[in-house]
Amino acid sequence: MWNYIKRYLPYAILAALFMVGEVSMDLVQPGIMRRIVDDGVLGLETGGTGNLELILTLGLQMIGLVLFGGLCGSLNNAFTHMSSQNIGNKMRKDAFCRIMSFSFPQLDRFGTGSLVTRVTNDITQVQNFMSLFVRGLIRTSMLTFGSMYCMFRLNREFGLIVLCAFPLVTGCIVLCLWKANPLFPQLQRQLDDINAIMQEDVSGIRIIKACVREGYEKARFGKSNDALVGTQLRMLVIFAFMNPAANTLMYAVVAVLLYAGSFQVAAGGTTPGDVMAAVTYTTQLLNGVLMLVMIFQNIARGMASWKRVKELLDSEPELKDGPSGGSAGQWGEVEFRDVSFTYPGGSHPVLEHIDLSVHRGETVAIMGATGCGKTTLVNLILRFYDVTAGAVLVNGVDVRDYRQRDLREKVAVTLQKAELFTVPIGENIAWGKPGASAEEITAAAQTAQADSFIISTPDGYDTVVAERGMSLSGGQRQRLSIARAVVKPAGILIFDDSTSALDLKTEAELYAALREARPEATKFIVAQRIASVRQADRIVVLEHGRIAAVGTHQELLAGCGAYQDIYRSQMGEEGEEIA
Amino acid sequence: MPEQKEQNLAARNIPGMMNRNQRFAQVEHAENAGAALRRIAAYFVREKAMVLVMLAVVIFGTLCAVYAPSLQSDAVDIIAGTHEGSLVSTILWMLAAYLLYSACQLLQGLFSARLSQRIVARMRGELFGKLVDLPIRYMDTHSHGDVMSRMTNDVENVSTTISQSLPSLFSGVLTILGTVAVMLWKCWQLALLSCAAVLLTVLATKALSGKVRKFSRQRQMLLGQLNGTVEEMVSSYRTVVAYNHQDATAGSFCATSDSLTKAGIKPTFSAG
Repeated sequence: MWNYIKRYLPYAILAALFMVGEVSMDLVQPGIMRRIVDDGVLGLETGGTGNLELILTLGLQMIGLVLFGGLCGSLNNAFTHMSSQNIGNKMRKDAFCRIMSFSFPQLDRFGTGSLVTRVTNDITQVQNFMSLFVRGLIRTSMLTFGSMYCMFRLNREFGLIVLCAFPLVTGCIVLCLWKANPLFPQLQRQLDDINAIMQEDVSGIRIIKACVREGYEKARFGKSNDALVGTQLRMLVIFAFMNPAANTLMYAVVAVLLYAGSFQVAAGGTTPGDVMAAVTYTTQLLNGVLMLVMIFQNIARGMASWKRVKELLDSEPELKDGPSGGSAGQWGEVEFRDVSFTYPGGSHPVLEHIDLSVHRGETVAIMGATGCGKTTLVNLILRFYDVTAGAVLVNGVDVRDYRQRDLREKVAVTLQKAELFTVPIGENIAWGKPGASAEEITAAAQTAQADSFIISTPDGYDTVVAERGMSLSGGQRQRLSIARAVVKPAGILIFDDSTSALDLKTEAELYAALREARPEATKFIVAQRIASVRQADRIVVLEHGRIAAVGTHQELLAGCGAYQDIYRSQMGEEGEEIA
Repeated sequence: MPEQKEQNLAARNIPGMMNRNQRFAQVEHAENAGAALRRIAAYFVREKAMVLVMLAVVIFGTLCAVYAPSLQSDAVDIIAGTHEGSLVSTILWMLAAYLLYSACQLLQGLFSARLSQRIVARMRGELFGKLVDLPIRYMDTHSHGDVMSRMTNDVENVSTTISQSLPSLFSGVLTILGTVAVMLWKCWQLALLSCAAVLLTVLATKALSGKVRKFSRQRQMLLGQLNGTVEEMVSSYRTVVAYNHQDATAGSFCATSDSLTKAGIKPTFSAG
């Protein structure tokens, strides 16, 4: 944390100085009050007559000092926030940039809900902690120790009385904090849970409604809510004891002071004004202690949050860049050499001993039953995960030897689940090629058969895609996703089940347009429908993570049992061919 | 005229049109602050029993808190010789008053903890229930991240405010009334002077708090925006990585974060 604080240390120090100024004014007040009472009102030194002039002078002095103290206070406030907010800002930015550098195993480990909490809520806690630290701790310690000091200077006996109470008060606070400490990380974890449920339910609202699971989800949320509230309640209850306990001890001290003070005054060792000042100092001490209580609460919470943020900041991405940038130019050769893959934390391999060589410009289709590893196979080309055995080569270079960005420049992918963003359609497509001209975007959209529905909207390419594209039909989403891949000048195009929502006619037009627009690119088409793959140069049939057969449509129809089954089940007994 | 109607028809039928100008930010000002307060009050009304008990405790506690300093000043006067009475008994009564006050504070703290948590739990539960029951159109036209931010950050704000300010609100009002009463009883000239000073403070606070409120709203809105960005980019991370969009995303996040920081710093000049 020191790294972060270092940068804004000057602000913090200025804030501290102003705080010192403000508190000094507070400490001086009782002294002036004493003089007003003793000399001005009671006129102890002048034999019983008051001195109005003195009261006025001292009163004005007091006002002046209060104003000065107030000014210091404002400036202190401003500088404190400047330092804490800026530090929090830097932390937040670093945290997000760190997330952006993550590999998927890291993302899976944290979970979306937890990441959101850490970047927003936890950092806010750390910020509060820091600003309270600068303002509160300095003010409180000064107030506390200053009051003690002034008290001792005033009258040794009074000081000793107060000093006796001190350990009791501190002991009380320490006990409460010790009990409350484990609750803070628990609180943040439960906030994580709530965030996670919210995220799931908010993005899956359609499914919840379709399956009429509203009641169930409410109950599930209710459980997490109750847990969170329970923890917060426990915490508040613990802290509810702190104040009254500290108060009681201090008031007892005041009582003792008054009692002892009476003897001293009677003996002529001290003045009523002194006694009053002593009581005021004690009350200030009490205020200081109570503030310490609140501060420690926030410090504990802040430290728990800081640990979570630090966990995020310290995470190293699992997949590291290789040295190579690949060759200039987009070739498009992909090779799988005895590739086997198991997901991190998975128990059985998803892919086993995959050997496949794809040449430049080839169109390769990948087919197979659900869950046989099709998506995993193409994800390995993009190096979303590292293979467990064997190697994947792109343009003759192992993907692990590439700098990740350079690798992904060479590949354009349409994911199985089309992910769009809340920006205009044109901008969504331009993700494939930042800075693409309107013509390029339109051309890509036309190839993807998306142009027709885009221009039918009043704003056309400027229409903002509402939340994740949920307002568009599945087919429209897929076509936008395809356009995004098409506009990218990549040598390898991957279409992962991205035409499943298109009707066969549109799909056929799409493939024809694709052949025309990007003849030189190597295309991987993952699909379930024979109609989607029959035009491919080669079709790879996957079964339980292994390659069952490779060949053209005719070859497989003649020789591959699995392929024949799929064909029959899709085309029907009549074997109708669709153009 | 007919073109406008047609445009509005399109605007309503094509989801996403509404959202044009603001990417994530939906700032709804409390159109009617009175109505909003009434809704919050409704939550309290449902916890009638606890509120009443707490009120009783607060009243009693405040009475003690207001009475004790007067006993204290009596004690000092006795010491100074300007007041008749037994010092010991005055001190003991004072101590008793303070002890009762502390006990009331404890009860107050416990009650307010319970009360505020029950209210917040209910609020959160109802909010979630409402979200799940709303038509899907709502989810399509509002940023998921912003919605989540309201559920967590905004509700937490409410929770903190209620649990921290509740006791103060109750006792503060009573203390003010009680203290003013005692002051007037003891010496009305001084009392008037104090009241004048307090009045000035109140006016000044009112003027400045308006500014602070504006920035608070802005801050919460930006926080919602940040939430939205993180949530969107993390759940669509595959696409972000596949299209090497990490830098651009980080850039726009940092810009929003900087705005949030500015919004956080500006009001502190007034708040001080």
